[in-house]
Amino acid sequence: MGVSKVHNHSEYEQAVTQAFAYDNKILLEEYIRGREIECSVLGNDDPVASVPGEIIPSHEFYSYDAKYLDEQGAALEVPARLSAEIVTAIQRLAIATFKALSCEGMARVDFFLRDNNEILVNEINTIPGFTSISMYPRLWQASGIAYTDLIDRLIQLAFERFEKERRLQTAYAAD
Amino acid sequence: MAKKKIKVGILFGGKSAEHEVSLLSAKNIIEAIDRDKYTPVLIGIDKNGKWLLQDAANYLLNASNPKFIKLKPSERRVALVPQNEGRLTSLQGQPDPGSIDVVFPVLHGPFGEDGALQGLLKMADIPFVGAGVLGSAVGMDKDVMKRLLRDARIPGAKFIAATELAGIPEYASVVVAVGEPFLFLRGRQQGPQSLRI
Repeated sequence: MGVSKVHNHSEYEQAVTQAFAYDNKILLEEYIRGREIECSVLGNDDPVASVPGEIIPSHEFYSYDAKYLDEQGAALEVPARLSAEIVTAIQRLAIATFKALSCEGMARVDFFLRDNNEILVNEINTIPGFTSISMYPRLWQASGIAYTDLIDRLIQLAFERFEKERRLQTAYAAD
Repeated sequence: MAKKKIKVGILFGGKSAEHEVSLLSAKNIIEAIDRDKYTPVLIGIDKNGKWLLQDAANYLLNASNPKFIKLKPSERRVALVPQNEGRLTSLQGQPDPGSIDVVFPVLHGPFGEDGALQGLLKMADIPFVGAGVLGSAVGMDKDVMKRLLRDARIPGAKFIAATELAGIPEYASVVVAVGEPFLFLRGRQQGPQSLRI
């Protein structure tokens, strides 16, 4: 319903007729052929990035079932097999994306990696999945932060942000 | 002396196509949270958007089957109101449902991840995990997200946004701008198609 791949004019006409039943805005996006890499980010003002992981899809589109409900449908590789240079570049871009989009606490940033090693940011998820097969906590586990410690850290970050905002408000009121 | 435990309101389920995924995520968080330090307070949001206080020992039906997992029905409707120091309000005149110190939203998609809930939590003056109103809203609107990334010179796929009001671009001009084949996406990320694990 929401996403389709358009190869020709008639497919476009067809997609257009249904488009605005669901949303008042549509996006026409370049189709990227490449590996799908994901990176977890954690922190507020000084966020850190995890080791990247890779999704090896078994369907052309990552369907709902394949992603979450059928563990066989998705092959996850954690950490992703990447050179040290690519890992560093992805981590840097993940943090830059997190900051550019005013994120706080947590986010998972999804990338495409082309054959020529070009890295493109695909999207960000501000509440990533936490299921037993989810990338966000798995990437932190692979980076040395266990699931329980991750939850603890996220809650502490929530308090830190809250206190910081409260100080700002107090300073404003006192002026 | 034992330190007072922090009460973490875990909000999960939700009025979203990703309701079941949220149940699975919440289940893991509730199992893994450090009980020496935190007391989880479970608030399940049903598919109509009602907030239901749940028993941490028994809140799911078919918990072990991802395909049939369901939020257990509950009669204990609760709400958070502005500036009430985290106290939950019972909507059905039941005994005091208690209070929470911080919220962990485990909700995917609209009403949970798009800034709406984050605004409500700010009005209630309660700390919460994750992005605030702006970061949440931006992350759910792919057009705005991609414009901000372009502005920050972060590389991404080429795109054009179109609205019904402004009119749909000609096929030929789309191909010139983004190539062929291309993806046809909804502007707001409301469906499971936009998700990855």
